[in-house]
Amino acid sequence: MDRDRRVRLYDAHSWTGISLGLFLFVVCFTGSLAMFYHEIKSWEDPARRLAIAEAPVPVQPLVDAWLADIPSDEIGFVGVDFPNAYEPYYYGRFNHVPDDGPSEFHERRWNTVTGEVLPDRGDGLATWLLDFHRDLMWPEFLGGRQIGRGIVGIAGIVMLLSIVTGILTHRKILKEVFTFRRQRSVRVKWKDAHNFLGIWSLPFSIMIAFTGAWLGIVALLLPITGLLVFKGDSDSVIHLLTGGETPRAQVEAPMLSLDEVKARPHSDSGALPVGVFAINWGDENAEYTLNYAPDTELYYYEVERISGTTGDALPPTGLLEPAASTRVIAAISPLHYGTYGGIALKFLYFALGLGLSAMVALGNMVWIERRAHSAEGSRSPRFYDRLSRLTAGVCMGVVLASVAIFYVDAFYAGSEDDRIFRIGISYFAVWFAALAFAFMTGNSYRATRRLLAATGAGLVGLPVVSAATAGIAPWSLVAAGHLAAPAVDLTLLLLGIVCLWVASRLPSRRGGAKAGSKHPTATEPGALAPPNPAA
Amino acid sequence: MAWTLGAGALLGLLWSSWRKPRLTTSIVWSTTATIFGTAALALLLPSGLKPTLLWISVATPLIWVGFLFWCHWDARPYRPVIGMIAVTLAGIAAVVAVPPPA
Repeated sequence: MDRDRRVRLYDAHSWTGISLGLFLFVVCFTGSLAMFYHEIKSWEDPARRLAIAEAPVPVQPLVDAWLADIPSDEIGFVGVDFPNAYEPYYYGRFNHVPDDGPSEFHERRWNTVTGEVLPDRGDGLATWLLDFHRDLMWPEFLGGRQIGRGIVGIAGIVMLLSIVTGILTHRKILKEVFTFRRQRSVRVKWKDAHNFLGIWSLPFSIMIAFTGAWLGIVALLLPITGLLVFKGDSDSVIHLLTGGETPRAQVEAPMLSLDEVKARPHSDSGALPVGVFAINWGDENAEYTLNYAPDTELYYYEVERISGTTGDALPPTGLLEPAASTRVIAAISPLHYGTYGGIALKFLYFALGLGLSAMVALGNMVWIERRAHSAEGSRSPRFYDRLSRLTAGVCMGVVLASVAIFYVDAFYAGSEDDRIFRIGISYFAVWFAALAFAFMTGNSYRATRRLLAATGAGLVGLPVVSAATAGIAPWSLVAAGHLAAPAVDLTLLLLGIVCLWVASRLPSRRGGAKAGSKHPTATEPGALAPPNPAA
Repeated sequence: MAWTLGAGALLGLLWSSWRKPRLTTSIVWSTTATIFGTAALALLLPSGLKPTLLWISVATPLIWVGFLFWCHWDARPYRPVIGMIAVTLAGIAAVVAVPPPA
């Protein structure tokens, strides 16, 4: 490759990083946390710590009583999730579509031992972490979640471009696999760490960027492409992709009992369903879609359709039809969220996701450092100082904000409808406070160190807060068979200790000695000189 | 009014394509070429529409990244501009000319 082309590709790599790197960091970091949606949900929600009944109460009477006052032809759909280790209760939801008003979504949870309705729990911490990663919680007045999802998808496109240009601009890629020069200047160390993380996580980075891009931009582009193909006829697009819904026959018929459906094994694996989704409730054309936990394959769920009145098997439609294209598309989401390999795989994804975040941040810091302290930079030192503080504030701010909302969720005492709103407000408040702190404190090194220390202290305190607010000690939960919440506590504690240790090792200024070290590390021009013992 | 705005936007785009070809192509023309190019492919490829649309959706991120990469790979800055405007126009022509599937 000629030099000009390499320079162009390097420029593309640098500028995508410096212009969108902070956004990429936020997407990667929040994605790492989103891996543990179910575990964090168990941590935040007391109802998820209930005992699972050995012989649960029948679910059909509970649902019948719930739907008793709703005419069946006004029910859009009914869904019921059966109890499992993460959600030890029945979870029902339905869509009420009145003739003379807007549709309403209702949801309810029942204790599987007593059949009692469990208190409502608004979306909170786990939902915020997951949805902020998926769609940035993009507000309705700016176009809604689909726009946010598309923007996150563009982050995947940018990451793919960065990966390709990054690979092509590194001439000694194999040598860099094993290069980490600990004794060199801070810039060289960062550069080595950036290259090392980038190369070792390359297959993961390509996979996560591609699947993330697909999940994000397809939500935007596939409808647009479909509308262009069908000249604006959106119904035809939906019909083509989903196979269309069977219309109501307008003949009332008794539904097959949900308890019978719950005991219906999968035709191949013999597994029992984890949930069911019904349309045309109470009608002769009613249909159940049964979701089964996937065997070992890359599916979110394995799905079977049956008649809602007779229980006869129905052929798959739409994206459930067996074909290479539907199979590939069904694999994208499990690949992205790592749902196919248990908790060990989630931790691997988490570590790789954090590595990816660190790689992005390090890339930005190398770019700034190189320009701030060499002839390569064409802007003023103040410009690079501000950029450095912005990087520290945004990156460490989102980390600290993510920890802070654990506290907000644990201590929240207001209306459940407002829970996620309050969490969102707190998230941005802490994030902006951290950003302001980065601009007000001595330098970006010190800001990073202090914000990381604050994050570590926050993490270490969370298990205590969890035990105090839930009113039950972690070991009692372990004894009761609920492992998720204590595992989150333990992970938070360990992460807190790691953050505090790393913060204690970070320098407080450029070229300064590591905290606790007797040996200064300044080795490059422009670094602050170590103290002269002869002076 | 709408025509004036549209013509102004188009002129602005052409001007920025002339002044900053790689940047404008990266932001604008790669996006339009991806959208209209994939729509044209879905209409023109002979296999069934549904699998074609699904496969094209899988390929869309790669096509988009391919266009972005081309912007920086090509030594001549105006070649990607012309190429992607051509893909966009060809896609628009296919969408307008080919009747929607039955």
